Amino acid sequence: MSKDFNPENYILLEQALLRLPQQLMRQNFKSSQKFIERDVNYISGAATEVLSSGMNGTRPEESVKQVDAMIGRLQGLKRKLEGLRDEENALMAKSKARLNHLQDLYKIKCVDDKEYERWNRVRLHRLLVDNLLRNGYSESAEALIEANESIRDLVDVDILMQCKKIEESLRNGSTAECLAWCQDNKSYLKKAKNGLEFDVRLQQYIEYVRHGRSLEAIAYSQKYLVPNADTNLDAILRSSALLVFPASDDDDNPYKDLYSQERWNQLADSFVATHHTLHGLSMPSLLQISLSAGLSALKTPSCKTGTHPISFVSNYNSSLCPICSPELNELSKPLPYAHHVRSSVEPDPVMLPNGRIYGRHTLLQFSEKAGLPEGKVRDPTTGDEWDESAIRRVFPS
Amino acid sequence: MVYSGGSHIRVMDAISKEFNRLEKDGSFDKYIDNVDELIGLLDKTRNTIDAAPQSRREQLANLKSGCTVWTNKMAESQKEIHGALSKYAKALDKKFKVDIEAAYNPNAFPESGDKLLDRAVAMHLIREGQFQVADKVIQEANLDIPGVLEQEFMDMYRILEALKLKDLQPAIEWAASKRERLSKSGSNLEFNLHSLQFIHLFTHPNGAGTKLALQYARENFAVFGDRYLADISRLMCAFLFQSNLQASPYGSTFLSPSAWDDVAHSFTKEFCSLLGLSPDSPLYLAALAGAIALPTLLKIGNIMREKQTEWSSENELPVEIPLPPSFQFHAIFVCPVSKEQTTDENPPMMMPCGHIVAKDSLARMSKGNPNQRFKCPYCPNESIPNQAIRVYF
Repeated sequence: MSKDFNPENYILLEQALLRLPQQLMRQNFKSSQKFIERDVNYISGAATEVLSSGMNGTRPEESVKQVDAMIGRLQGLKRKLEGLRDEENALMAKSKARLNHLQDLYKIKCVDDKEYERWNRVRLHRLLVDNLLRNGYSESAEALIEANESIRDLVDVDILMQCKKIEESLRNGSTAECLAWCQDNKSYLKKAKNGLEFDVRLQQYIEYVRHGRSLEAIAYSQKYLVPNADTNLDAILRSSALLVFPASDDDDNPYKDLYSQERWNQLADSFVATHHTLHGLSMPSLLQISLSAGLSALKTPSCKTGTHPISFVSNYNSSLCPICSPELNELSKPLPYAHHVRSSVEPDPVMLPNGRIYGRHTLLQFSEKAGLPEGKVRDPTTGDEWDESAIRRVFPS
Repeated sequence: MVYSGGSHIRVMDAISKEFNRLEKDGSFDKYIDNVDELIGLLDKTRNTIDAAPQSRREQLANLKSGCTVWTNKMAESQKEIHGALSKYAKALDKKFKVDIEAAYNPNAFPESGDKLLDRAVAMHLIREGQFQVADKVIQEANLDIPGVLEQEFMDMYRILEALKLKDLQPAIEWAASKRERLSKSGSNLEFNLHSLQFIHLFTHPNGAGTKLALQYARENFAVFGDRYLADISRLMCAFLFQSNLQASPYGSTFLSPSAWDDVAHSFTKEFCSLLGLSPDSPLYLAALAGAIALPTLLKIGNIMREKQTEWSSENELPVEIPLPPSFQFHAIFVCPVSKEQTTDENPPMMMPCGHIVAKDSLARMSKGNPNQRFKCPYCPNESIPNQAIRVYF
């Protein structure tokens, strides 16, 4: 069993930690570019203007006024840039905290290192926050962060909350929020040849038709759908036919797929997928990815698989196995169990008359602790008792 | 994905290097300095014109060239910031090429089991003592978790808090109330708590300790006489060595620095066990095992993707995950003949000679005939499959 600890393999799993703030810094920079470009153009135009009107002999007060306008404009730019700078600094601070968190892995020598345990407690907390936010449980997430302030820089609350809000708005039949998001991320969507915006626009068009607002539908289609004819011709043609096939629940309506309310859920899913890809976030949460691996790695064929009712105050059950525990038993059911090539049983195995096998030492120690008279043994699982002479050695391998 | 030591530059060092550059060159402060500078020039221009209108032409020409310089400066700053940002982005791109979803088993968390994960999370928070957070999760996820569980763990943390303050009374009361179930499971917790209380009194620095300890022993040890006579006499012998306990054979028992932690640990274990729960949060253990397993599964997942095959539909992982021994909770039996793990469908069977193989292997060796004699693959003994008995690890 190799216990060599290679921190880099673990760092790879956490790439979203650094990716996300980097992505946001990029967006932040783009906003700054937009502001700067606009005002640089204004300033150079205004400087030329004030000079030439001064040469042409306007009154000096006029020039002062023009310069004051330039000052006002620059103060506006300064305010915007200060806002972006604060944002950038916050993202840098976050990135720095995350770099340090990942660097900590280099101090760890092996997986049963206490430091690794501590690191993983922090990791679990941030994975939990991430998973809570993805489910839209923002109050829970905030409560968990408040109880563990050290993870605040390691979690991305705003971006996940915004994502959830837009997702929900789509599920509730509103396109505005998602379209605004598409606008903000236009260049990315274009580069990735992502069809989200078209699909959302198409849905808005369908809604106009559904509600009998044909003229608006046509105008909307001309403005937003038709310009995409080169890539979405079929969809545009098909959607125009809706104008003669009004929404109905008839099974034979040839366009019932377009009228289906289920399309909103598909849009919501597709938005989340686009959003997560843009920000370098995995689709299943990292908690889900980790658990899918961890549950399998721990699962054995001996883990309880029956349909036990989950009872919290059960009778005698000293099982320590996390997979057998009521919390995870059901979750681990769909997953494969761990692969083992070698047996791993307690040393000096002996069998009781009921077929149960234990390490001799464990069995005798348990029986002694249970206060049994010498020469008697008790099965720790079933509670049955026998004379020590009834046990026999077995040879599992 | 395999990194060897030696001259290899550590991933985080490469990334940190670019990040440090970004911190230095990527700050928006330079934009703001530039803007301030131009505002300064504009202010000066305006004030000079205001005071000396005849200087206007010169001032405005000067301003115009100042604005050109400013435009260039802004462009330069943009270039610097952009350069630092893209270099950092490239460093991340270069080091983080792997798609971690390759390690994900898509069969995990089916939608039908929507609330199971939320539930596991809430349970985890409860057993970690984060009750307020747990309550929020239960509320927001609309879960149905019996309040009695939270009550139980509040009780557990109350007792643990007392133990931290070296107050054993709440723990002793709890153990006494569960005496029967504890002793049935072979637990010595109640007696151990009393012993610790005795030792705590005995070693109390105010000098009256030995007297109090003796009184305590008289009042409390009698009920344990049957089962713990040897332990009790050991404790009592301490009175003979009280002047120099440190050097006595009892030093290690009486002055063990971990005694309180040990008793807290064993209390937690017994407490959880009576609730049918494991002492460590299963969610924590599973997430930890997952972190350990993921690099290996990621490797396999990527190979499988290339070959366009799937591992996730099998009922066993395609590769062994080396977990530390503390992660083993069940005996593992791999049939020495077929090299397969035994299951309920293919259970371990013991032949009369004491050797154990999987049921399927037994059938194969006897050619499917339950009365066919065959030789044990590990010893000279012969037997028939019907003589083999089902065993349980």
